[in-house]
Amino acid sequence: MSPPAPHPGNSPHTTRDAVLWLGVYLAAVTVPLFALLPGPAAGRGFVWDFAMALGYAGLAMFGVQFALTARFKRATAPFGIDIVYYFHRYLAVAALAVVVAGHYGILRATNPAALGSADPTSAPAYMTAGRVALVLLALVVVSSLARRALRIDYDGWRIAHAALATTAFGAALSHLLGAGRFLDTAWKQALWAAYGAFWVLLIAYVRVLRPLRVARRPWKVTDVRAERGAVWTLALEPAHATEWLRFAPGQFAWLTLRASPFAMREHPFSIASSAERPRRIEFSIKELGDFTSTIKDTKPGETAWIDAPYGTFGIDEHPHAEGYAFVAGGVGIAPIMSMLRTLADRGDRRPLVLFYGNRVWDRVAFREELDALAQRLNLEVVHVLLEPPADWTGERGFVTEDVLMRHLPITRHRFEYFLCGPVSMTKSVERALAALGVQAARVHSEIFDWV
Amino acid sequence: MTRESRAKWLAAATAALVIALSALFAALRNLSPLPVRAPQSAAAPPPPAADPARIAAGRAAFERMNCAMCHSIAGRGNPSHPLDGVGGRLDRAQLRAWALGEGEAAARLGGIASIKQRNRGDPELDALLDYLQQLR
Repeated sequence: MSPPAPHPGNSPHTTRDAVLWLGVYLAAVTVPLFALLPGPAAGRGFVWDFAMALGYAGLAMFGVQFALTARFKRATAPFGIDIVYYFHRYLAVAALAVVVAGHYGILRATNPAALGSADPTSAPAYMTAGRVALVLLALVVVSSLARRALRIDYDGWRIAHAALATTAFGAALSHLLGAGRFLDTAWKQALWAAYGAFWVLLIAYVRVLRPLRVARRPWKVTDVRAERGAVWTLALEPAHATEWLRFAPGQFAWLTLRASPFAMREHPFSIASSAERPRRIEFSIKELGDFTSTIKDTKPGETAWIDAPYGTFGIDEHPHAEGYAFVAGGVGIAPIMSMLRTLADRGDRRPLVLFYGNRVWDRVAFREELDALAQRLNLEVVHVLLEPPADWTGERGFVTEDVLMRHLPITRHRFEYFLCGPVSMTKSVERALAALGVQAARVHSEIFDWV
Repeated sequence: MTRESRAKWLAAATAALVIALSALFAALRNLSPLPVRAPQSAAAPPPPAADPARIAAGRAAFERMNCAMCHSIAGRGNPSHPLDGVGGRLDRAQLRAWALGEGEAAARLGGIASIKQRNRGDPELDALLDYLQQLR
């Protein structure tokens, strides 16, 4: 057994790193723009130059979108990868507004003659490329925001998303290089061509090099077990005996089953097993969608691939807390099981409270193991049932302020809190904890459906 | 604040900064006013008597050929290459060479020359040149 993963703690570095990476973002978007300032060309009027600057900046913003989802661990760690994916989503809307309302809209409103004819047979290719890019970018953003409403299948969407976004970016770049009146010297053209090439290489890294790295470390399915509540636990061991996965409890992995790592058919799941047992990792997955319903058909011996670990949700980010409290809703228990199992393996004696919300008693996943963990740990398990049996004496309904108040110790202000479950639950528990005087910085939640 | 709304605010603030920096870029480029081109009357003969119908036809050709994508006249069109006063700077042969991407102009136009060469043989070419020539 190997030692627990060394993990970046919640040191002051985290805030400093977050500011640093935001600075890197702004620089990546605007430094290539300001590099165009020196030179012989004079200004063309504020409105025109502003519209042009928004075009350059918008393209750079779309370029950075590829970097945001490239899963660079150092850049995502200070924020948490779920925030980075949300950032990617909202920035896409902002970047679309910048190019549609800003770059194109300002020109359309103030100087429509400069746009020329939209007819692709008479317009120059670089202008048609710009129009194609606008339409494709809008399509990429809308199909992503409305994926669930439009009932677009996740695997198909991921492939279409990558293909459309890459095509749109290529079209936008060729528009810029063709129309770029600011690119009046060879070195400026070279700078922007290199800038474009950088994003192309990044895409190659994400789609080819990283899957290659994942493919070189195959895992084998060793067990598939049914838990209560339509949850299936999938156990994996490395195909090569010398391998293991260092992770911190609460982190997650991108899992690929029955597909090549290059096929973009990976799905994110929390690791449920102990971080002290890095040679056998387990996922506990509830039957909810197309992919999750196939977990039970997986057979021992099948090959699996994992890209891991990711995420900043977990006790090892806050190692010096006086105690920990966990709030789980349904299968949101998975990352919390990892934390409890890890604490048990480490012989931790700090006070722990788990609030575990479920609908009915028979479908409470891991309830027997939680009883056993309560014996090994200084742990109180508070089951909260929405539809309790007639003889139930425990908590009922939702995890409310009253329920929290009844079971949290007086030292609750010095605990760290981990929330995982439906968004409605995490939001209401966050409010309840705030009402109980717990600092927001001590409350950590894992977002489940950020993709 | 939830993690999602934190990301939302982070994205909004970042986008606002990008837009502000773009405005700063535009302001910095326009610190000094646009240079006023001195008419070089020596190069060109006095303007021919303008026939309003031909001028109108030339202006229509200017629009049809999408010249405003790269050129502005009286603030309309792409300000990168203003044509105000071009009739005082270039003679008719030069205007023709620039309009069609021929000769020395072709070398200086680069890739744009091939777009302009599509206008060779346009029936309104002479009207276009009349229109440009009277821009003083």
